[in-house]
Amino acid sequence: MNTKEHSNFFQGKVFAILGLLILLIVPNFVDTNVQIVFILILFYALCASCWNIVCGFVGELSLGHAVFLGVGAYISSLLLMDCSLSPWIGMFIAAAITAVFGVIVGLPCFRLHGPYFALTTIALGELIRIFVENNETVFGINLRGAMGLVLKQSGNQFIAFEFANKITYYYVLVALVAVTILVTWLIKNSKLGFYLTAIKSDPDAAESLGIKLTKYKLIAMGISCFLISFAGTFYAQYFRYVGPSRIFSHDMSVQIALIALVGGQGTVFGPLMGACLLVPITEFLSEEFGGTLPGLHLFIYGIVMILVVLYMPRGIFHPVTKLFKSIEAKLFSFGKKSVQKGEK
Amino acid sequence: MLDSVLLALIYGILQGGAYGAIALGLSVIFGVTRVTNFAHGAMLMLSTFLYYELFTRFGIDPYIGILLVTPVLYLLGMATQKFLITPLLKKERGTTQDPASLLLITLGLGYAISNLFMMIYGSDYKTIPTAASRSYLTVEIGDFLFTTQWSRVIAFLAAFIIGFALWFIINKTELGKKIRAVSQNRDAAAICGVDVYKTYAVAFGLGIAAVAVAGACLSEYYFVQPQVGTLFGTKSFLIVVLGGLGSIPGAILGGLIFGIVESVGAQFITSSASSMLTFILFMIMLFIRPSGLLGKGGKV
Repeated sequence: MNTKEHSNFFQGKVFAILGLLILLIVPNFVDTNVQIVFILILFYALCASCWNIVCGFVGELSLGHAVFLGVGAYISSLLLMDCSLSPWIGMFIAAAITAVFGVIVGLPCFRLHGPYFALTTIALGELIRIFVENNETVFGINLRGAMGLVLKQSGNQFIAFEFANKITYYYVLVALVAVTILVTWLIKNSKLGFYLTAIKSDPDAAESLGIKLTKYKLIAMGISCFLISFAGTFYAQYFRYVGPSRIFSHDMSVQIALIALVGGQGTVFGPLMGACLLVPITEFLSEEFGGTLPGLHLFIYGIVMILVVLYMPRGIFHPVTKLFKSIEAKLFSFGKKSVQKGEK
Repeated sequence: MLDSVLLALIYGILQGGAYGAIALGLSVIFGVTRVTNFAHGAMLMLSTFLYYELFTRFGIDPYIGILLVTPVLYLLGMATQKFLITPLLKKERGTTQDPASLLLITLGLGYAISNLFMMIYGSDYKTIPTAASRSYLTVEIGDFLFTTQWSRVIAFLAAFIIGFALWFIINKTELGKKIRAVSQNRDAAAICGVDVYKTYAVAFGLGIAAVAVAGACLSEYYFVQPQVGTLFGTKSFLIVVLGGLGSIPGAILGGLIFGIVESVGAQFITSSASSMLTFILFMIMLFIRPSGLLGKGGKV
């Protein structure tokens, strides 16, 4: 791409930078309802990016990632409720425990492949959900069963991860997403990323070259669980409620996976792009038709899933970037004055 | 105590038979096409809604409705294979395609179907009050009276009837010969003049037709609701893996084990927690013997 004379850092990235700027700045100037949508976009982008680290790179389909989201949310919330520990510290403890949990779960699961792996993760998700819904206390820890955890409202306190306005939550989320995307990028361009790509394209060949399959899969799993636990903490602090029937649900897992798959698994910015496309659609649909047509947004999810698998099995990331790059190239070839037109 | 466990055991066996009946279609589809059909539960749900409509509009009992619904579902199964899965299989040739795509497309289809019905019918629970669901079978066991709906007994028997029918079609007919050939080696079968994709479509249709028959038996005593599919779909998968993917007796055996574990387990812990036992059983089974109880060995 960068063969032209004026090739610089921004070449071919104008629209990407524009999009990121929109995500950064626009939420300041819109009303609360739209801010909520922006928060959800980034929340799902965060979850999908974490999913992408293990599943997009390794190539196994986890349909139980909501488990790790939920475990993170539960641990940090319980630490806050029972030990009055600030979520800012709690989220790291939760992340560490979730990562260990993920590795322990991954150890047997990664021996399986394809549908067997997917089924095991589904079974695991259901198992944890039923377990939490049916147990009031576990080892003396009060899980509160199917009631879920209700976090107290204490007003605008930075130390308690509680803010009066949505925009502060949004920028916390921006930071989390940025860290996750950075980690994804680092993994992709590191030895670990190359190992994982090798494992994905041919496990047997990778193993014969001396790559320890399970070891690297588990490292990816640990990183993924560590990061998705932050999303869980955010979920708990933002909604002030953690309900097991939602956060551990199969639907949640499928949504996370679908957003990453639509965006483009194994790409750095794909999950973010997928969330930007899917979340506004589903939010709009459930807002407009949620009362009269329950399930419409999940119906759309199903249809989108079919269409993506049939026509864009690698996700929308590459086609969309290609499209934008060609638009950009056209705009530049017609002179600088038409650049403004490209903004939407 | 012992008597109540015995009763639970009988209930479990009856329920397990129904599970087996539902899981059979899934097993056949996997055995032939290697597709894990995540839309299986949704198709079961779809069939129960067709029976519900037939009953409420025309007063047709689901057992008779089988004659009408099964061909429709057979065609639906064929269409699924033809328009969704075959294009993927054709694309797969030569290139290393993501094996997850087959799984995803059926998952998407299942989501679309079950939420379409959610949109149309809402999440209300409906029942089909037929003669079989209102007449009871009573047997005296020791001091206890064992009472159950006849429709549950029929569902149990249906598992064996469906299982035998599928076994007969696959092992004793010309069509079955093609199906077996294709499932053993796709390319070799193609060389011998078998239309691979057509055979896949027939096998897929057969599996879905089987679940339509099971759906009739289920709708006679269970409620009709869009989410039912998800529940039974997940269970069918666990059952089929437990019994061995692709094995017909395995599906019935797995179903029976599931029914018994759930029902007897509920005697000791709460009934919703007892379904946890089945998940645990499934996971242990996968880690010890991924090919299932009656499945053929081999790498998973």
